[in-house]
Amino acid sequence: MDYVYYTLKMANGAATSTMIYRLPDGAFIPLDPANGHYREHLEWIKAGNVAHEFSSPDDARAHHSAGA
Amino acid sequence: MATTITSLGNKMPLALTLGGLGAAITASNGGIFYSTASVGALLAGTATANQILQSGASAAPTWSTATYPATTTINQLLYSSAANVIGGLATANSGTLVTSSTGVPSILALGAQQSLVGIASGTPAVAYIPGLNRVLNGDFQVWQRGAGGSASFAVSASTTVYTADRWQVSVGASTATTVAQTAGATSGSYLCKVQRNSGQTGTAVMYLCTSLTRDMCVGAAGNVVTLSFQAAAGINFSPTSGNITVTVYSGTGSTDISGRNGAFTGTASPISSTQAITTTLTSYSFTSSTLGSTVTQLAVQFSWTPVGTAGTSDWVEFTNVQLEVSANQTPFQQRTFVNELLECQRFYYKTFLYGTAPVQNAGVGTGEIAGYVSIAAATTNFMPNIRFPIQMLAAPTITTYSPAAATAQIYNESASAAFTATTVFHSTATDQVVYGTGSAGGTVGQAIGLHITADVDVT
Repeated sequence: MDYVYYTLKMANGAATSTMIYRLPDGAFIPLDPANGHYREHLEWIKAGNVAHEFSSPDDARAHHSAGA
Repeated sequence: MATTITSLGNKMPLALTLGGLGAAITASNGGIFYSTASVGALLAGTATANQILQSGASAAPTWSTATYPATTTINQLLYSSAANVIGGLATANSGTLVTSSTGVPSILALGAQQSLVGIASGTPAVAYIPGLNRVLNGDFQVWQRGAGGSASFAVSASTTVYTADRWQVSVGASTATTVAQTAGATSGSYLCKVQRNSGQTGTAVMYLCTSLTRDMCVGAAGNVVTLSFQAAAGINFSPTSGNITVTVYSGTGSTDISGRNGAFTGTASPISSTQAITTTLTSYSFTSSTLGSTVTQLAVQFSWTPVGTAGTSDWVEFTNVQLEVSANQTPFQQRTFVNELLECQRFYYKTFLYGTAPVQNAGVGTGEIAGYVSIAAATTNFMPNIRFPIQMLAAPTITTYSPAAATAQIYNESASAAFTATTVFHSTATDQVVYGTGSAGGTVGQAIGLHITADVDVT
């Protein structure tokens, strides 16, 4: 399956979090080098792809659906 | 001489103190002279050969009732082979003394890694000391990704997917495949059946494999490992001669690998063999060469090359896969379902009931994370944090599922309305936090729910 990755930067009051959001399966990937999906995302970036940044998965899905 | 006897006069028989016997002795063939407290005496000879002379303490000696061998054999123990018969017990190398149910002794030889096992009303027997099985779910008990015990996966052509926990299947083009748990011959035993679907024409190599994390490999470096398993094939299993390739890979990397595509470093194949699989479930065992002293990674792989168009029974099934640090195959280490499930949940966890395959809209009350609306209307609400049953290998990848809609959103079960923007705020090896934007009409206190899967396995 060909995946596309997005960066989700989220804020809840003073708390912030960054996750990688993978489409089309909608998986949330933590920034943990021990997580193999995160390593696959790094390989995807290394291959020249760009993980666009959004603040919600809905926005990322809309971006993905638009084929942007 | 005659003069001397005359001079002794009435001193006959000559006393012991004068060099005589002090008594009249009757000869006995084979008899033994001895002394009482005052005179000489004769222990009559015995008609039984091989009896031995025994002390009578301060009384007359006697012949033993038991007979003894005239010669002995090196390393034999002497024992009563029959009443009053002493004989040699045949020896054996590297053995131990055991007795039968009637007390008859013998020496039982013990091989490497064998131990003694008591048998009720029988002679103790040898058995291999069970090894520690490094493979998780080697008996295919656990299928969290599917519908538990009735799990069946439709594997599309040209894909690699996890099926049974810790086991991934990889197939090539035109090789749509079904992977399912099947019942074994005995209660509670299972197999993993991999079937190229009837009519499929793909002939690329098919794989079933599992990998070990580095901590599961500790103790293997510098030693030999033995892989054992049971397998059977369908009557249409198409590979030439029914052959599969059995491989154990080793690596020296510092990363936990995953399946056959893992990040091996310094890959070697300490086991690489071809094995013909028959239609009868049969046990197989392969022992490796000595692993390198820096090995940190191991993986087990079964592969086969289908031929022609698949018939209706182009399948092979496996069970009791065991990889142990041992030069010998030992009995399969049977773990309980709960223990196996917990070990597997280090890599994959779902909030769904075990028998429910993860899916959107599984229904309310199906084990979802349950919470309540804390802030009304379309505002941010957090689901309760849940902690995983066991600390996972790494911070897992989280996928969300609505319990009552075809979305991946938190669901307001009281208002029958889906949230929007459901987001995993964080994921660690021990827990995860999800929040979302409430439905417009949501009010404080309404019940909300969400299913998740947590996964660190990489295909």
